[in-house]
Amino acid sequence: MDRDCQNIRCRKARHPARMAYLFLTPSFLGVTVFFVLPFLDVVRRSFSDAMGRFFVGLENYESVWNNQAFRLAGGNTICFLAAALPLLFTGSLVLSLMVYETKNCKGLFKTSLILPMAVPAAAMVLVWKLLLCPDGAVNQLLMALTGQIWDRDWVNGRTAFPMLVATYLWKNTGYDMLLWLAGLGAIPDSLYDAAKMDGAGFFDRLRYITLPNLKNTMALVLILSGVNVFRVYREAYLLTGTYPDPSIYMIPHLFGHWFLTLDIQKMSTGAMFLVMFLAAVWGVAFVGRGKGRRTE
Amino acid sequence: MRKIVQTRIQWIILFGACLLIWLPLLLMAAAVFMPEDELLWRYLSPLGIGRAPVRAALIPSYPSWEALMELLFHSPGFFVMFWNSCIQVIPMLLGQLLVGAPAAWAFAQFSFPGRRLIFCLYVLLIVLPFQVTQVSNYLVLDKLGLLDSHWAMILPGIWSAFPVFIMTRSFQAIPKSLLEAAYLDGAGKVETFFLVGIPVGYPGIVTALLLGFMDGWNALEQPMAYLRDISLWPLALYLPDIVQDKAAVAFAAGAVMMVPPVLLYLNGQGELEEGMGGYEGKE
Amino acid sequence: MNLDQEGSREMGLLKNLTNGCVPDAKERCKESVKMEKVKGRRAGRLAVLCLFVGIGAGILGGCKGGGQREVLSPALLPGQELPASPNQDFGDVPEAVGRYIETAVELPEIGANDRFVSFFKGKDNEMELYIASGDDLGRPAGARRFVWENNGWRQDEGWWDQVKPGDISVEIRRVFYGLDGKYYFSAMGTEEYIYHLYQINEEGESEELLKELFLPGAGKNYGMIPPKAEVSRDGKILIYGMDEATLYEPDGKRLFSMEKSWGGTSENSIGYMTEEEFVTMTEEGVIRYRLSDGQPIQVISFDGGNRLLSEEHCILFGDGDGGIYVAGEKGLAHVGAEGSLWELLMDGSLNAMGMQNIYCQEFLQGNEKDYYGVYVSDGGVGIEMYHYTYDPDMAASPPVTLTVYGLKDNSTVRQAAALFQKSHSDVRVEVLSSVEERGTPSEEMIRALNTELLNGKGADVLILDGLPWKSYEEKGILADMRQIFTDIQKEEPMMEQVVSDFTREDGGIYQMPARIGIPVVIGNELARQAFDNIETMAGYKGEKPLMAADTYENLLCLMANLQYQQLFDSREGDITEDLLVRYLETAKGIGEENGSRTMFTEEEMERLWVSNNKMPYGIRGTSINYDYGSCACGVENMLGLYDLIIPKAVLKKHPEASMESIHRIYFPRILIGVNQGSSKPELAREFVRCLFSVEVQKEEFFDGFPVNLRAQEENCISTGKNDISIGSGIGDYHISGEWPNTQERRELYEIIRSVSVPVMMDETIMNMIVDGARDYFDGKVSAREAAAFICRKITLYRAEQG
Repeated sequence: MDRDCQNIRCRKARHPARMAYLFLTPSFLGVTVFFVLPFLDVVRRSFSDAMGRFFVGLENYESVWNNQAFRLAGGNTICFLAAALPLLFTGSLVLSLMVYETKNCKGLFKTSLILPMAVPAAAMVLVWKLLLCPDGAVNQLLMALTGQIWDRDWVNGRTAFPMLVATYLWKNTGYDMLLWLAGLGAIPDSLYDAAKMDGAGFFDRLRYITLPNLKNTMALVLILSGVNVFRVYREAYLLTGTYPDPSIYMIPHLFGHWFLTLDIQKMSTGAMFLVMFLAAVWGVAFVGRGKGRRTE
Repeated sequence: MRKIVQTRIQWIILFGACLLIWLPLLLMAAAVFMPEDELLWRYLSPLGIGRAPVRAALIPSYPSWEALMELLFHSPGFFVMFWNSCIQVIPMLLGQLLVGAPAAWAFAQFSFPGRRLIFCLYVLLIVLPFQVTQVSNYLVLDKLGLLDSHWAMILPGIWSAFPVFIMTRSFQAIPKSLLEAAYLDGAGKVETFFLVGIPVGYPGIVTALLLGFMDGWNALEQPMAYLRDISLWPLALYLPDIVQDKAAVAFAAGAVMMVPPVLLYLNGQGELEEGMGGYEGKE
Repeated sequence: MNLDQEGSREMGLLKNLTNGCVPDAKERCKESVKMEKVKGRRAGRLAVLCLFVGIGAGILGGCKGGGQREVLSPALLPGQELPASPNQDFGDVPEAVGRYIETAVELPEIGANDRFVSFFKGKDNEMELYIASGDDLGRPAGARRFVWENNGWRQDEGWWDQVKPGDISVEIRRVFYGLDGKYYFSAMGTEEYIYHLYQINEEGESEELLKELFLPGAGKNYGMIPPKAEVSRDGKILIYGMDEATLYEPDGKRLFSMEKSWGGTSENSIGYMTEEEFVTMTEEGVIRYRLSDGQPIQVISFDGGNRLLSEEHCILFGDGDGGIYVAGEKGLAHVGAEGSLWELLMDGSLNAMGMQNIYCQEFLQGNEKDYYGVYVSDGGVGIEMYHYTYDPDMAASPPVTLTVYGLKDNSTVRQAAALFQKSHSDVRVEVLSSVEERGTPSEEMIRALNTELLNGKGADVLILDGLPWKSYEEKGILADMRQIFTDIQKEEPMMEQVVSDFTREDGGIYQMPARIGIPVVIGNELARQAFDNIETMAGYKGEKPLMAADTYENLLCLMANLQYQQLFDSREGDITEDLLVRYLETAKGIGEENGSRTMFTEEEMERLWVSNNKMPYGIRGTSINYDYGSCACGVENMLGLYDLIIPKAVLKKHPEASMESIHRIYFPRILIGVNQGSSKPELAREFVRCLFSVEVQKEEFFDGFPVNLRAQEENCISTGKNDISIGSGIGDYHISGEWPNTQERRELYEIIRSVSVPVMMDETIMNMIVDGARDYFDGKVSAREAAAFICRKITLYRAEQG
């Protein structure tokens, strides 16, 4: 903590805020026009009627909060985040550590992992369908293995949720690895060399060097993985239809339907709840970190 | 001995992961080279036309270039859209570099009132799903008279908060000692940015641009919402849903669409690590 | 029957996407292929460089005008005074001035059984018009020749008597003026169905040419019947065939053939001959052949113009300078002698070219920069001629644009647009349809439309079929049209019950169907009564199953639509779980009896005359199954008088059967609404009036029956299509019927006027039911489980709106 303060102070001395604004302004102006203004409009709409003409107070907040569909979608989205994020986070970290360490075929591994990001959703969805549909390859494989008849529709019923998680992981592991690798690349080799000389094993190095140095990347990966949850929507919706199994009915589905029926005020309100949720998570994390520091 | 076992396990896991990734991709690649009838015969069920056991294949029985040829030589619309994609994505990336990198530098290396708040705002804007702001964005673009032009894709893309966020993280990782050294050599703030920030933060910039490219290249909702004129539509809107009578061509289009991002990545992956090699750790 | 139409429409759309390829694009293709072959990092780097260079070029190209639109833009030809293109891409550019205007040309009197033959410029560049006459019974009775003199048609009395062949009786098909300066005509023998080609000699008498060529070959019933023939300067004769045109010496010696195919369209007379060239179409585009040796000289791809040329009825003609014109539904385009860029001279949507009830039959250039076009109506009776002159002071595009938006393209709306523009020369009606056929998901299109609507923009008039019209009404997107319909009811009334069905409690009218479809059942009384409710459907006991086999999806859908009141319109509001169970069980009961499946195999499809296609309203049209004896009744969805032909034939064979409406249900179609945010509310209202006017309503476009009462009456008495007959058959079974007579039409309209229950099934709920019931029909879950699952989804769907 002290170190941080010093740092800031010494930076302050060197770089007057004026300079900072010079660097920031071009970006900030554009962001204001193209993103902040629309966002403020969204805030306004969350307090208005559907066409955005009349102020209705907290009416939308009340109706959305009590909306069963919103609760279901919100709950499912949180479940999905809770299930998929840790898997993705650790999975991609482990894989990227391995790729980073390995000597042979490094390029092959790295390139392979990046490919899923580039596949257009529609083509991918057909592949998932041919694997997972009742007549699909997965069922055929299981039939061959067990000798029984399999005609499960994997994207419906109990298996829908795990399947959605799996497709999400498939698509995003490479994405996160890209971020991890950039982070790993930034750790100076000299640190490892010194640790090795001290006789630190692989896990010691991981614990004391790699992970602390990846702290910044972690936040990045977490946030972007969260963002990508909203982007798997297109695949989910092509794969399972607009009203899928209730276990994978999520916020983007609901927003999509609200948009179709012009319930833009509800969508805006829903988005405000999303923002509040994020702020809460953020606050908890911030407080948690503050506490952590104090105990240090 | 233990070391060897460890390496073996590592290899098995990595190969396993690659296999999991390659299998669906190979299925897709095989579909690209299937003639229309074979595609229908094999994938009747997933295409939603009838019920028949899927006959998955990694190698087509009757390999053919038909669909790819049809796409590349008989579909001028495809090329118009390909170029539209380029026209929309390339200036956007250049703009992101020009506008985003200095902003990221400001967040990473300066301290000023409101820094934390503004940064939080940027992150928030990344998290909001596009749908939410679609209507409001339309309003802004309409007021600026940008609707129905390539600018409706380029300008919001340039000021996306996303690359700023990634670049900030990478600029923050620049070792302090390096900056100190630059100042000691008498470099000004602007010079430091160009002489140290850009070269050392290079991997982050490349990552940001690479991801930005993929986002822009695959963008689907934005053009559909803001470009009513279909002659401006980008490639992502070429057969975005695989419909039965054009399944083969749609697969080929999907494959061709993957080519530019993958090539860019192949080109950029080295830089992702090279940039930082021997510098001191952060803070 | 319906299937065939759909099929050919799809073919046309496919063409749209595959037509032609610019040379420019070909180079780009090579680059791309190159890109794909390269592998590995080093090569990758190189390729990326290539890519960027290419992209740079692309950007530069883009700056010039962006994509394909420059191709049609006259802006690329500076210094040349050309009429500006009213291309929509340029929107309302105020500076652009100059447009072709259309004026009707008065025609000589044309009898009910007369038929258009030919229109061309003959000797001394005079325009000539030929009309075949028919007697009262429609039999051929000679032909008349007219010459354009002093802005009027002068009949050449006695022409036919002089030129008609002395030996046999013939029916004239086509007259043309050879490049050798002689007149020719072709005709069909009335006794024997043989084609004859005649030259009219100096004395004005006819001499037959190439007689042997057209005689039927040994063992054949028909000889060659070419759609078109032309004669070159040196007297060689070009005979058009199905996919090639062949040049003959006058003595019958065959010289060579030139390929000329154009998709699967019926029009194979597209093309023309000049002194040195033969110009026609192939799949790649317009092609020029050298007449001396039949070798192709140049292929001009359609590229940007492909949308322009993809229509079935189009005309190619020369400009006399080596350039080529093409006229079609989308307009008139021209390409210069050595050029390859099409330039759109006239926008077909602004004039008669875009009319849906007539199509362009002949088009030619006048003596100055003016044009003449002849149009013939669908039945072949109505003939119209228009003169197109360039008005340099007229705005290139009418100053006001009224936009009409719908998810699907529709002929009735296009017809209304064309007529509306005729009466409002300062208004351009732009009919936009979502490009669903290209594979664009319609949900995304609706979101894009909603974005516009929420910002107070969007099309002025909305075709609400497939759009969330209920929400639009609730959110105040749609304007109240009560005044319009009050006026309509006063002036040219439409079906009273339709108006009242769409009038809200407070008297407001926010949507109105311009067409309606009528479901009918054909069978004996017992079978007809079975449609009373789902219980009677389930309880039907007869020798044969109640309905023909179909997919369970269609079966469910059909039941949902026909028993809509019982299932979805009950007092309890939504369908209850118990009712849903009974509904599913009934469907399964019917299905097990008649052999329905969730999906059919090829063999089953052949045996049962079904397909796995999803039918509109789940109604396949099963009167032929009934006739064949595979079920106790036939259910048909009537969308026009064409749909009456086969059921009428079936009814004639089954005296015990009759045809009646089911629950007096009708399916509203082309639901029209006016955008509340429209900046031209007056025009939008007038457009709605136009859509409901007799002129638009009386035309048949297979999309539903008119709601306008006078249009209904006109449909009953019109004689335009009396000679149409339709046959239908599968395997050994065959049935054919004639165009219904006035009495039969009146009977059908009797049923139509009796309907009073609009049914518009919610597609989302229908999909939920179909999806959720699949496992039940496959025997994996019980009806109760399936119903519970469906109910959960429906509850969720309702909760969203809560």
